[in-house]
Amino acid sequence: MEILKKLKLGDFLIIIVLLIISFTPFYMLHNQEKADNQIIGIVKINNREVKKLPLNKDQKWRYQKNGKINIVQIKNHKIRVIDANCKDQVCVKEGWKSESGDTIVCLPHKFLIELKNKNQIDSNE
Amino acid sequence: MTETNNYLRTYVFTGILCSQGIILSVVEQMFPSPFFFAPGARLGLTNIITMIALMILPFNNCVLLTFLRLVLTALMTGGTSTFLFAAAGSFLSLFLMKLFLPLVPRFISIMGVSILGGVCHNFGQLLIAVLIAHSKYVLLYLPLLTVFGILSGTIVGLVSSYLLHYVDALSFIKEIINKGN
Repeated sequence: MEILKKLKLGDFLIIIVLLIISFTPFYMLHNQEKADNQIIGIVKINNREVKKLPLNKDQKWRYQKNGKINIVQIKNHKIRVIDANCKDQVCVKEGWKSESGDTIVCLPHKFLIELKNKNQIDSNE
Repeated sequence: MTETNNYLRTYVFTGILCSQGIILSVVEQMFPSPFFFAPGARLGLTNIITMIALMILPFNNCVLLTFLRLVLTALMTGGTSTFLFAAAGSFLSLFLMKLFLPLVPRFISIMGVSILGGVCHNFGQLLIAVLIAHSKYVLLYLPLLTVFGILSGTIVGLVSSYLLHYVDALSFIKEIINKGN
């Protein structure tokens, strides 16, 4: 307790200011995360990554191999499988997806679309 | 004649402090870190030397002292990367401590300055880590390091204020050097 008597008001000010400064990265990174909350659709076939489709650009992408066809459409930050030539059509019936963590699966073609956050992917690499 | 003597004395004292700083940092590396659950947090015993140098020596000698101490410590113990980390931390803390030192007897105590120095030492190291790792997320480690920097800064400040108070040679040397300038 003798230490506390030696400390002056300015010392406590320094400590408080330093503590506040040390917490600023939290806020900055938090806000930034909100700002570039970009979602990317990762297309995997046989569990191998084939293509990355960012959801901020409207486009159609056609996958065709060995007679297996899946057509993916991106519109208004949403993604869906618009057409496929598999027999159960589960992937087409799934409809629009837009949240991180969502998946669209086409089991007969072993075709998988995973939606992930952009910075989530960056931090994994 | 006396002028050259004082000039020499200043540099001799710089050398002595430098060697003490090197010894302290080598000894500190032998200890396991007291903050074992926070890797990177150190006791920062060399800050005692920096504090004393700032109180006694002119500022350009302090810069020289810090630079020599860093190079020699890097040659003796660490490698280039350790040198980079230590250099960033040491110079940042040195300049900030110099900035705040004129406030000492009136508004803040020596402890406040050394707390500032300890925290800035960690902060400089983290900045280099950000540059090397190319990731801003390293900065999330800052609050933990700040808390330990404050703890170790208090210890260092306490030690150096007692040193300046009780060791007669220090005030004697300060008098001689100030007379020369």
